Amino acid sequence: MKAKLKFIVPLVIIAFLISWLVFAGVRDSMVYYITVEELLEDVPDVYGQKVRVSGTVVHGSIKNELDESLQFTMADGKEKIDVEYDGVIPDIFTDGVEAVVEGSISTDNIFVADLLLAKCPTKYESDEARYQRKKG
Amino acid sequence: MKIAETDPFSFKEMRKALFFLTFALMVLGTWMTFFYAPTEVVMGHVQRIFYFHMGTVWAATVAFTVVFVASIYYLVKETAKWDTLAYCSAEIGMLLLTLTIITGSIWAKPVWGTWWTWDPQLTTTFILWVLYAVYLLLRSGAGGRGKKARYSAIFAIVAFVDLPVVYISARIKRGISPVVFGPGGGGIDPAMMQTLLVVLLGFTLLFILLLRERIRIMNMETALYTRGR
Amino acid sequence: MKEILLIFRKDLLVEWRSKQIFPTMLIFSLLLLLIFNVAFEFRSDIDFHTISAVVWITFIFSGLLALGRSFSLEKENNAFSFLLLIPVSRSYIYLGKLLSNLVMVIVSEIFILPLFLLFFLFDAKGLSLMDTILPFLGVTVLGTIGFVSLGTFFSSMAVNTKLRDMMLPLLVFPLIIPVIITSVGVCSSILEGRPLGYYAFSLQILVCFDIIFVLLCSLLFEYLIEDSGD
Repeated sequence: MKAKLKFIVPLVIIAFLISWLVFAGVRDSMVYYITVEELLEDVPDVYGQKVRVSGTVVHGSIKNELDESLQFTMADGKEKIDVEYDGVIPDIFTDGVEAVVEGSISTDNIFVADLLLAKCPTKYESDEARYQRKKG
Repeated sequence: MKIAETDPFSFKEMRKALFFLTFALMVLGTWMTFFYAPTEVVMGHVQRIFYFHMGTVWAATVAFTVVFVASIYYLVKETAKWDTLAYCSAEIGMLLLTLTIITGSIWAKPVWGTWWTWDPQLTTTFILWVLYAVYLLLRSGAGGRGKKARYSAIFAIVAFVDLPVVYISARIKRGISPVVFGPGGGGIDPAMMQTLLVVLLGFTLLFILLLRERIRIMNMETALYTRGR
Repeated sequence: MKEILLIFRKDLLVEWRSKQIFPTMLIFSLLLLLIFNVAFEFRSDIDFHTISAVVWITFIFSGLLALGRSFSLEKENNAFSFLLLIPVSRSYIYLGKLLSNLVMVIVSEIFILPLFLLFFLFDAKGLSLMDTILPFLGVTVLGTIGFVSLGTFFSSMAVNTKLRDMMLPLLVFPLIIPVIITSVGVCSSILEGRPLGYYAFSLQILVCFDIIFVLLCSLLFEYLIEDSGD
């Protein structure tokens, strides 16, 4: 009996701790990216620092001329920021897509990105379904 | 021929049935992936790799769970049967997880715009891959059969318990990988869901088939080895 | 309980008389410190996160030296089979070994940490050394418990494999990644001068990791060691 208890008690503690870790709170100790709002809050300190920022591409803001770098505006809720980028553009990058940019913000509040990533949609729908939804 | 019959799990008819069922489901799944499932509106045809990606990652998860359970059984019962099961399952799981990472990369390049990024989900998958690579390495470098079985079983258990811990430490609220299912997820077109279910079932059967065949080969090897002595 | 302390005392006594591991660890850490500084071209604008990462890499590499030695020492003259003769549960042997390894690794860290912060934060960056070094040490102890518990456990496994010492980092590194991520995160927040509330949750997580690893390893240690002592 005592031998069994010596086995079960640690197992229960381990199981409890792991489930506590999983459920009780996974807060952001290491943030993969910050939002536009969080970026602008830090503004004087953040100049020149490398950061990853995420936001939605504002409709109609994309300017992409052949001899120039890509320019667009990224927003989340209330705050927005202009982004400049020179490099490979993901296929699904268009108006309204959620994008993640890596780079730094310059003193004239333009974000210069070294890398542009697009987040894939969390809702997978067919052409037809979207057409039906838009119509209805 | 006698060697094959030493396998206690092997029933000729069942094996044949399993083989044909798996084959049929994999063909059906592939057909549905390309012709039945509608084209995703934002990502286009690239999104079709999703079914294969999910199929491999699901089967890999099953494989590693089997390794964990078989390892516990081995430590308690100490019969070679459980060790064989754990080892064969780990080998197949490793293959499937490698495919998961490769298909994920192929998908990520056009959609996200990069082959790889240190998103928590990707980081955890990568660590899982390394853990089972070490598991297989430990087996080749441990020594005698009993020691090999015991050590790898212990490592598999620690690794499996470590996984949620890895996930917690790497996870943050916001990742780039999509959360399609569950609360907070976006949902999926019904025809896509049907395709996914067929593919998942196909991969589950494929895993079982591969596992049984691998165990059979392993048992033959052991039988030959012991007879040779 | 008494047996744990006996093994602990024995290990420290062996080290006190032979003076093998401890000086090796110190010199090794200093060498790493030198290499990092050379590799960074003696720059003084290295950010806090990089410094924390470098400190932890050094702790883990030099710690593994001591851990690898811990059980290969017992292999000589077959001392381990005599250890097994102690009529107590195997987990006591593990806990004794864990304690002695912890003391050795932590003491060497206490020696090396001030040097590290001094060399890397040469211009001090407006930090007071005393305010950062004490909390930094606290986190170091927590993180060290996490990696030494797994390290001690797998050290006893690695010495019995064909690959010996080569196997130890392979077994330990992937498993201690959560400890490294959390410890480095907390350490860099401390250097940045954040308040306790900012990283309190990470500290809780770290304590959880320690408890999980120590319990799991002492449980499984019973299975790790066979009677033949192979």
